[in-house]
Amino acid sequence: MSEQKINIPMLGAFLGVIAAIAAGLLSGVKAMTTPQIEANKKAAIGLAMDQVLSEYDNDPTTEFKTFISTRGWEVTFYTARKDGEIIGYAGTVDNTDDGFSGTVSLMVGILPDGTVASIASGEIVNSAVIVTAQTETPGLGTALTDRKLQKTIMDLIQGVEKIEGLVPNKYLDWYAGRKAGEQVWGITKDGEAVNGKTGATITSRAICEAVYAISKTAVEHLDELHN
Amino acid sequence: MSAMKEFSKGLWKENPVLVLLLGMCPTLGVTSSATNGLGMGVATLFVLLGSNVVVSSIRKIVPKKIRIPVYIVIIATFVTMIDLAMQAYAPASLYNALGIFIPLIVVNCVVLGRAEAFASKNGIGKSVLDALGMGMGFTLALVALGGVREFLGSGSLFQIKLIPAWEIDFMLPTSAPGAFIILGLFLAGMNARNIRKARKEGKNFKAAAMDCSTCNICDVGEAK
Repeated sequence: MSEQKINIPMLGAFLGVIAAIAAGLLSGVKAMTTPQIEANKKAAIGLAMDQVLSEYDNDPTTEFKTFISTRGWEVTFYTARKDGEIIGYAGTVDNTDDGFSGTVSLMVGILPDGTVASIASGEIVNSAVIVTAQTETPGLGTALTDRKLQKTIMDLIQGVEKIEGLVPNKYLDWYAGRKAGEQVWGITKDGEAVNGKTGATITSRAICEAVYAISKTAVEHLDELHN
Repeated sequence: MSAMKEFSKGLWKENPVLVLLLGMCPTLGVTSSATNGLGMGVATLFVLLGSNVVVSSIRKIVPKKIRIPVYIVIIATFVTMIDLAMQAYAPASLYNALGIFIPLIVVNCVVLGRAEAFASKNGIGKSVLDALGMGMGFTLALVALGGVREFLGSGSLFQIKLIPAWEIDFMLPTSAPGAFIILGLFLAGMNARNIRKARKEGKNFKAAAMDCSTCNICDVGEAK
């Protein structure tokens, strides 16, 4: 049996050709999907805004201001207007690192004076607080963050249509009508007002701090926001 | 082997998860609900189909010494395409739930295993059937595992509550330890069934072992 000759340049060239074809294909697919992915990201922000603000007629995604909170977080306020008048802001924080396993991102509807807004859907009044991204423990931490519509088998059989809008979450709804500087904020375990879940202290505290930071930053920068 | 057999072997007799024990990482990682299992299974099915077709069609011109890197490039290309397509067109909740596990299909042993053990030795038609069978077997196993975990965890299936009074989630089945326990029960059931079947035929049953006897991926560079 003769020793098999290894032609390294030949093998390298073959691999290079395969890689080049793959790269070409991928850049094509990337170019095809990028507009859709960008649109999805924008639609996600718009969808979140519809949940925390009501009755605006401008496009808030085009008018926003960013401030740094006392905790060093970037807080962005999107301005919602109706007939040119400011009716509120959608405040967001993305880079909190207080969650049990990573960042918690929130969007909070804020009235022009810095109070956390409430949204009425049907007869239920909810706070305009939603968690847009989180990696908390499923079933424990997520009880504080999810506003998930619960579908049951009975609904399917009876053909019940659930009401669209914010789904109540007693932990998030607690913030309705609160304003930084006017009430005591904090969770029970820290000896403050009641709002937390046993077994999910870290998540409770993270959400409380984030909502507080948004309200506080709004109150501190009210003049700049109005202009 | 007939065409039907090429297709159906992946569904049950050589099910990649329950018999060959391949692709355990996504199997345990994403099956916290039936929906996630279905999404992961279908994504893997498409990658498997693409890689099997390409590997099979270039099997005669790929130098043996660099075939593994070539296969990996092909698989990675399909995975990135699926990743981008899901980001663009799949529901955001599904894409977020599967997260890092989509790019990790690249190193899923089911895909590389079928490329090396089957597509590199068979024609395109057979490879397509093999990919469909294996991909659907993988999907079925993931949906079954995800369905059982979701039901035991919160009394729901595909995010629809079957037991409306079940309000507080039971966390064990939906967390990682529960995944191991339930997969273990699945495999025990599968083995028990196979042992009984082998006894009836008067044969000795040997359960799939985590060794190299059933795998030929490592014979890199061995000249034939």
